[in-house]
Amino acid sequence: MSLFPPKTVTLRDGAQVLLRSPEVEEAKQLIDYLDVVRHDTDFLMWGPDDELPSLESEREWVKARRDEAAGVTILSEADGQVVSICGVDSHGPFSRVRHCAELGISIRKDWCDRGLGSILLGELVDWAEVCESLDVVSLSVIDGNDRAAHLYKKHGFEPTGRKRWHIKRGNEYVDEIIMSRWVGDPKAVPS
Amino acid sequence: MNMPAQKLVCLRDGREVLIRPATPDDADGLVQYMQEGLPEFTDYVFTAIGEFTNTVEQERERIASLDHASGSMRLIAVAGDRVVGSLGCSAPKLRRIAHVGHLGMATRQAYWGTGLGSAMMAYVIAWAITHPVLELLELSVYADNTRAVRLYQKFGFEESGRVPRSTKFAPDVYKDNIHMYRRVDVEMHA
Repeated sequence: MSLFPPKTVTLRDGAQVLLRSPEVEEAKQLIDYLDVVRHDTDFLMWGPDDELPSLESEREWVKARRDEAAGVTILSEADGQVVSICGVDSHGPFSRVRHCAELGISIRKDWCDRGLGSILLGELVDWAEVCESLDVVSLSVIDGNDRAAHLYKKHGFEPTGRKRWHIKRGNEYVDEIIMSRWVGDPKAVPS
Repeated sequence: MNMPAQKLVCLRDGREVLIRPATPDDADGLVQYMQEGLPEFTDYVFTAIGEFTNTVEQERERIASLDHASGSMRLIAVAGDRVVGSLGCSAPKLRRIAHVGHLGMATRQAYWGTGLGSAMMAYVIAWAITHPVLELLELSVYADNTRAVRLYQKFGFEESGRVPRSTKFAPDVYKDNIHMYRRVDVEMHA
């Protein structure tokens, strides 16, 4: 089980945000949050036409995320509202891929450009570096999301591939860029 | 949608195999194939020996849950009454990535170098081209598995990237994964 120790951070504009693990009882708020952010941006895998998760499957998702040893999920809360969900999630359970985790992050539109993304990425990378069993964190960026790609680079992620036409938004095809970062033994950084 | 039919293939060494989509009744044969075949091909797949734990009943449910209409299916190669090869295609549910089918394949060692892998790949590509949802096929392969990489290249797959050290065989023993993709929709614009 890995829970994120609650922590309050102050953004550049003075706003305060509480970072913590999500609770199973918050499943409804998490679905509502997903419904908001998927309309806020074109840069998520979730689109407006997808069927939202059921309350039951969302509860199971939160429970699984809280129970996961090689991964962590951070809920950001401000003014009693969910303003971001992010996390790293091990590719496990198979032994050969358990050391590798996928990073995902979304932020409500009115909380973007305020430095929250950078704080959260820093927290996730720190967490992954401390996590004994994790060596590699990878992520996907939808082509055109330059701000996110720039932020990932700032936090040590390198682009290692481009999956052409991988994202279909209506009739438009967009590439998916894959990036990864070493979080294992600092003495064993890949050349 | 064009539901794939079975196909009798004559291999290079003269043996014949039947290629067809698996049905729930193949669960028994598939579990046996994985249990006996895994020690042969474990070095080339994600599953380590001992990590295939599906019961026949679980395997049956998995096959029954495959939705051909959305681009998921399990192809098997059968010789006599034994499964000797398998190629799975699975397509995600989310709409923005539902057009991408992910492939995974293996064959029993006694069939390596006979053209069985090629026959299964040709079959799944032909099926995917006529499939109304699938537009891309994607797979990942260990960077040092040159035989497989060559087979995929022969079938038009191109490298789209790699994740360094994304598989770990032992402490400090890693392999890179190459991602490869191929279009299966001629009308897709660049």
